[in-house]
Amino acid sequence: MSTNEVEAQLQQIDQVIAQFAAAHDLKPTPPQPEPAQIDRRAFLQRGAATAGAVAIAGTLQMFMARRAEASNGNAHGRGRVGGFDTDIGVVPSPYGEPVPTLDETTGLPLLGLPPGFRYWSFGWTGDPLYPAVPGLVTPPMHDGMGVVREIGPLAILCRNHEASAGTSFLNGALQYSPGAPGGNTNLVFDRRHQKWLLSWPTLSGTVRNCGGGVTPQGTWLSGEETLGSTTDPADPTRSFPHGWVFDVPAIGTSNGKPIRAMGRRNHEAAAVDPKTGVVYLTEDGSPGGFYRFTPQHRHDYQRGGKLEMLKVMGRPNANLQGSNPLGGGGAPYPVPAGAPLDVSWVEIADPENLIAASNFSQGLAQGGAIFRRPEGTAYRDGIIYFVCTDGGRSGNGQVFCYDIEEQQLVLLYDAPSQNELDNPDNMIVTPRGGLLFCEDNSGSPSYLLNGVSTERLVALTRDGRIFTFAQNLVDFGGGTYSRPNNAVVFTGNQRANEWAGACFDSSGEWLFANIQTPGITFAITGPWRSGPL
Amino acid sequence: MLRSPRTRLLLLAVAATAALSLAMYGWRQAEAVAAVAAPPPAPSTVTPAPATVAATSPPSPAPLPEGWLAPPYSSEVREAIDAVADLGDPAALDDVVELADSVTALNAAQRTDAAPRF
Repeated sequence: MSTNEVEAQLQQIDQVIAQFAAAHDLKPTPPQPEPAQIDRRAFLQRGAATAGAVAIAGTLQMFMARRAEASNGNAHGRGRVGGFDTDIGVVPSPYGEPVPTLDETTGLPLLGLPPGFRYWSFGWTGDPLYPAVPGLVTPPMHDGMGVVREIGPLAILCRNHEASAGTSFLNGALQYSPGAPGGNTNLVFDRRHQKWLLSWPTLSGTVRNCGGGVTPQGTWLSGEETLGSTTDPADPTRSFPHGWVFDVPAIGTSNGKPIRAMGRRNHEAAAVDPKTGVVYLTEDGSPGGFYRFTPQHRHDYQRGGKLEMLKVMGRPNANLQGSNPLGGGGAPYPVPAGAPLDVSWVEIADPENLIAASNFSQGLAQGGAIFRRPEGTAYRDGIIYFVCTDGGRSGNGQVFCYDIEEQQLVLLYDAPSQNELDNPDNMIVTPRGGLLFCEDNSGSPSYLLNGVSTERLVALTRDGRIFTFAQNLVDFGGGTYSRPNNAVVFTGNQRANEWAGACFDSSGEWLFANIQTPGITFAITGPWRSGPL
Repeated sequence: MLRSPRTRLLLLAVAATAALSLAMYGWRQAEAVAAVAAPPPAPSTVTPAPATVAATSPPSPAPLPEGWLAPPYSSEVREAIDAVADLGDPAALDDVVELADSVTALNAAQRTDAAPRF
C-alpha cells in the first residue's frame, strides 16, 4: 500500500466519521487539558501519605498527652475494665475543640461545641407548658432526662426538675404532695424537621427529682434526692414523706404514687438490666450506697420486690470513697484501681424505714460498702457503670463498673484533677460505646476556661482517651434576656452551673442535655460518627 | 514519512479501530439522546397490573382515624400528628394519636378542674 493509498483511506475514514457525527449532531470533544500534574494513583498515594502523617501525628499527640498525664500520676496500669482501657489520659477532642456555637432557636451563643455541631434550645424555665393553662409553666432546675419512647421522627423525653422549695406546680392525679415543687415534664422533639413541638407535666408534688433512668418498657424512673417531708398547705396535718422513686410514662401522666419497695433515701439515678429487669440504683449520700431492686413483676414496680445493698466480699463496710479526706473519705482505695472486688448483696428488709433509721444504716449493719455520692449510672452489655461525684483521691470523681454476671466491682477511673474531670454527675454510655459525663462541681473549685468557671460534657473513650466534648457558655453578662410568654428574666453568668440529663436517641444522631440553671434543654446533632461517642 | 508498508498498515489499523470506536460511541450517544427526547409512548390499552404499581410506588399513607383533625387538637399536637402521618405507618399513627389524645385529655381536665397550684 502506497502512502497515497493510505492517506486516501484515512481521508475516507475521516469523511465517514464527519458524516456520522453530523447526522447525529455530535460535536468533537474539546481538547483535553494536559494530564493533571498528579495522576490518580499519585494522588491516592499522596493522600494516603498525608492521612498517614496526620494519623501518626494525632496518635503521637495523644500518646504524648497520655504519657504526660501518666507521668502526673494518672496511670492505673494497663488493662481493660468493663471494655475500657484503664490507661487513661487527656487528649484533644477527636471531634475538634469546642467553639462558641449559636443556638438555632435563639441565636445566642449558649454552648461550646465541636465544629459542625448544631443545637436547638427549648423548655426554658418559665416557658409555657401544654396544656395552655394560665400560669402553668416549665418548672426550674432541669436535671436527669431520658428518651423514653420514639414514634417515627418524634422523640419523647422525660425530664426531672430538682426543685425543692415551693408548692406543687400542678394538681390532679399526677401529684404526690401539694406542698412540693419538683416533678417531671415530658417533651416531644421532631428529629426530621429539627423542631421542638411541645412539653407537658407528667409528675408533680415531689422534691428534688435529681437523676433517673429509662426502663426497658419505655418509662422513666424519677428519683427524689431527699429524706424530708412536706405538708399540704391547705391542711398542715397531712404530711408527705419524700425520698421515693416514681414511674413516669412516656405518654399521659404518672399516677403520683411512689414505688415504696425501691426504698426511701437520697435517690439519684437508676439503670435497668434488660435481661433480668433488675434495677440498679445509686444513693446520693456521703456516705452513700449502691443498691439493686429485683421486682416481683418487671413491668409493674408497684407490685413490690426485693431491695438489696452492695457489699464487698471479705471486706465488711469497705471504704471505697477514695483517699481525699473531704466528705468522709480519707482511706486509701483498698485495692489497686482496675483490680476486681467480688461482691455480694445484703437485703434491706425495711425499705420504707418504718422501723430502721435509713436504708443505708440497714445495709451498713450487714457490712455494706461505703461510697461517696454515687450519682449517674447506666447499663451496657452486662455492665452497670456508675460515678461517685465527689469520690476518689482528689475528690473530683470516680467511675465504677459492676459486672453483673461475674458479680465484680472495679474502679475504672479516679479523676486526678478538676481539669481532667470535675465532679461527674449524670452519665450515659454513648451509641458508639464511650462514656459521657455531665459535670457538676457541687461548689468545689471548678475547671476554668479562659479564667471562667465552666462546666463541661466530658467524654471517656474505650481506648482510654478523655476529652472535653462541650462547654456551658450560658452567660448573659450584665444584660438580661427575656423570652416570649415567659415572665422569667434571665441574667448573669451561668457557666459554672451543672450539665444534666444527657441522653441519646436510638439513631445516635441526637444528644439531648440540660443546663440545670437557668434551666434550658438542648437537642444537639452533628457529625457524631466522625468520633468515638 | 509512512514509507514502511508495515508502519502504514499499522497506522491504518489504529485509525480504523479509532473510527469504529468513535462510531460506536456516537451511535450509543445518539441512541441515549433519542431515548430521552423520544415522545412518551401512546397510552397503552393494557392497564398495568396493580401489583406492579404497588411495587414501584411509595407506600400510600394509611387511612387516618376518623376525626383525627378534630378541633380539640391544638396546633402543636396537629404538628406532631402530621410529622408521623407522613410516614404512612399505621402503628406509628396509632401511637401518635394516643399521645395527642392524652395531652388533649390533660388539657380538657385542666380546663375543667380546679386551677393548678403554683
